[in-house]
Amino acid sequence: MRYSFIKPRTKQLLAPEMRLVLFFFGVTLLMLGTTYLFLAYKQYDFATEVAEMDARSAELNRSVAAMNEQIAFIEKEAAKAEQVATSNTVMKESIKNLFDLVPDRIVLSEADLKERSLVLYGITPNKEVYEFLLQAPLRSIFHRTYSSFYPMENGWYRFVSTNFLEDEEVLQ
Amino acid sequence: MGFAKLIERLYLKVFVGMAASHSGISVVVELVKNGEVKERTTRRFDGTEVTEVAAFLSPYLDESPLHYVALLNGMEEQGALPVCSVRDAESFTDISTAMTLCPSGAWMLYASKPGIDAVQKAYAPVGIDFLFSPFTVLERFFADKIAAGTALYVLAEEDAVSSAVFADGALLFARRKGMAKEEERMELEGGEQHEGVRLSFDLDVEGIEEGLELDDINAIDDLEGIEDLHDIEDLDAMEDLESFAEEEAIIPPVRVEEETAEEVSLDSFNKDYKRFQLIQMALESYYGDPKYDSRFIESVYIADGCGVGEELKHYLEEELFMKVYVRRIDLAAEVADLAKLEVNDAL
Repeated sequence: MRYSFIKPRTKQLLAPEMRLVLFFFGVTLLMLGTTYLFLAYKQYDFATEVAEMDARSAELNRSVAAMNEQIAFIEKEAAKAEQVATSNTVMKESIKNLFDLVPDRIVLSEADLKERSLVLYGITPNKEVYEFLLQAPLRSIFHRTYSSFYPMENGWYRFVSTNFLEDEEVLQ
Repeated sequence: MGFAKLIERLYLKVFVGMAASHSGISVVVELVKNGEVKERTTRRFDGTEVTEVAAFLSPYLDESPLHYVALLNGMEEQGALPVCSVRDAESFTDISTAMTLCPSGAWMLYASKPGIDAVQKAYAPVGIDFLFSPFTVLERFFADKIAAGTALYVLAEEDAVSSAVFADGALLFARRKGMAKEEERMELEGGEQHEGVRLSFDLDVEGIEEGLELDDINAIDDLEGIEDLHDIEDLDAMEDLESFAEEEAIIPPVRVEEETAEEVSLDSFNKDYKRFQLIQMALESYYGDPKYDSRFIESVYIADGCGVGEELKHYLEEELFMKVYVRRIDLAAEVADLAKLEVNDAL
């Protein structure tokens, strides 16, 4: 103070009632602000989480696609394997059936089994045995059958039996 | 700064100025908004009952939280010194228990700290925000005169006289004396210089008020009893009793009222003379004390805060050959103005 020996008393600009009202208003505004900030934070948090989930979902989708590709490949391979197994089984059965076709009196020395053809080499006591016991079943299986005989010293015949299947009936 | 200005615009300010004396308290209330006085009220309270003042001020102070109550410091233990450092001030008076202010940095105001505490306690029902020295009021009131020239400036209050010598704006001397205390001192000293004057006044007043005292009639003491008065001639022999009868007959009841007005005039005359004596003593101290820078003073400016009579002017002119200028001052209003100045300085 420049001229006064004492300092003025502290002035309360607001009445106690007004201060109380403003205090409650302040607390209310503070709570509203805090709630707003909390909700804004939560919104941001959820948005971030959603983005992360989207990214993760996309990654999983990509992973699923890759796995589907793998599954498709595996299934394809499995089908192939099954096909091979089936083919092998069919072939095995065919070979077995082929050998079952050969009578005891005819001896095979070689069998060349191909996809559409079967060439048999062997010996037969005579042509009749061959024609009745072997050629007849072969003719029922193959479309075309050609036989060649070569006499041996002991009176038996070497034979070469060439059998073909037509295209539409090729074994799968 | 901006916030303070905003508050100033929003709120009404209430400034209360008070000047107290033994006979009453003068109060000025000013309601100010944006520097403009919206309402001004003055009131004089007889007696020194602060609670009455507090009751009067209460509705005004409730008008605004920014209310400032200022009081003119009327205590005896205060003054002003022509120096501004405490060390230099010690050579003039003991200020160890005083509060000091150097408003302009050139001279010092001081007031007793216990006295200030007592004033604050006494005015606790009202509550005091500012306490101003009479010398501050004096300096501001005669600011136009103080700036140039050397003169004696006097603030005449009802209970005290504050005298200060300023030369070209610088304080050379200051003295404050209370009327009652000085009267007591003079009575104790029995000063010959003033006794005759006061006695002549006292005798007149006593004569008017009381007439003759029965104790003064010595003849009654000479009588042994009422039995000694054998006849009416004995009474004629008693001159004192005769004069007593004459005096009693002279004073009619109507004359008592006329004399009351005369008594007031005499009281004013007495007070003026006391003020004159205080001013004279202040000048003697100023000229006589080598600590002060003595300069010849031919003018005296009186701020009349109590209605001084023409006698004071005549005394100063005739006894001390001074040029006397009297200017009426509303002390409470000046105090309120000072409060406004303080608040504006603080903003």
